[in-house]
Amino acid sequence: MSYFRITLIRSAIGLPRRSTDVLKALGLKKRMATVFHSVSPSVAGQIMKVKELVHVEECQYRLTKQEVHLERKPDPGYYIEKSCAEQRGELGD
Amino acid sequence: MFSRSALRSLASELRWTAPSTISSAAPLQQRACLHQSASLMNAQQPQSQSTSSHPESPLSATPRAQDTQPENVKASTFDENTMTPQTRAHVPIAKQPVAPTFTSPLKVTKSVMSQLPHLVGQKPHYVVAQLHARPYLLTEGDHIRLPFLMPKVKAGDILRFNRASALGSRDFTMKGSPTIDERIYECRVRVTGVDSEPLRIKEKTKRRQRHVKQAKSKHRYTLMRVMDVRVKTPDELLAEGAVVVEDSADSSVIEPRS
Repeated sequence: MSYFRITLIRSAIGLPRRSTDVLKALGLKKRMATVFHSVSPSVAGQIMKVKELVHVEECQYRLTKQEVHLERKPDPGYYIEKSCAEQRGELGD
Repeated sequence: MFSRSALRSLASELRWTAPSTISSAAPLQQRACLHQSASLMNAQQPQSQSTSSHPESPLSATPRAQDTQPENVKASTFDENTMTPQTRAHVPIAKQPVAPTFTSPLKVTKSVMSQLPHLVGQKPHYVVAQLHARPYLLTEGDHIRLPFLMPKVKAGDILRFNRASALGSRDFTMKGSPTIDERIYECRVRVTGVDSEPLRIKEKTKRRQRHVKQAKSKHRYTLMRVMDVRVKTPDELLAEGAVVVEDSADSSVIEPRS
């Protein structure tokens, strides 16, 4: 089962009412929002209507909102090597 | 005396296993660590009594907390191998500030191995550490004021910075692609305290209303000092089990100053 991963890149402000309605039907409410739809002719037709506004990829899994967020989340770049409680424990022993 | 040392080990265990699920002991423990050791004794006295009356309570805090703090338990019981992340609390261990565990040995290319002695021999070293993907150029002895309050750290904690995009000295620079393997260098930082900005008051007004609302903000920032920036010698790397491999396009390189 494959899915379309659709991201709204450009807003539909100033475009005909049809474009806005198609985006609403796809579930895209704001720019950079990402939705997943299973590959079907009807969804493909919807994408064709707003192809100038969205970025489409095909993927095998439907990701959750948090998974999409985690793709962008960078590594913290640090970790606690020794807490002050541990250091005090070493001093005490 | 025994009870205090036992409590210490217990506290450190709790800190590693379930930092978010310490239900009642957390505020006292944190406050105790902010003071000097003399006041620590006073602060820990009531705690040791409470732990002696309920000896198992902090250890069994995780299952007990289920009925009180469902969100935290979800985060602690979240297993990244079996579950898909659903909420903001589900963060895989790789994206959390946790000490890494290595499965494969460190791979060093031949060119890096041959040029590493030049870099090691020339002190002092600098490192471009990436903290939440923001670069910080650090040298030993530097004082840092982070533009944010680092969570779950206290004054006195020793941190390791383990994402570096560049590492260098006066004449040599080792560039990562995109980061250098963290086993090649050591960058230690000690948390020295918390700084805070002056209270900012912003007057909020609405049209045609006499009322003026005052919005206050006072941000806090973590202060740190760089303890050491050290590059390991080739002998140390080999002793730790590093493997020398052929050069490839996406490996770190050491470049002399042009």
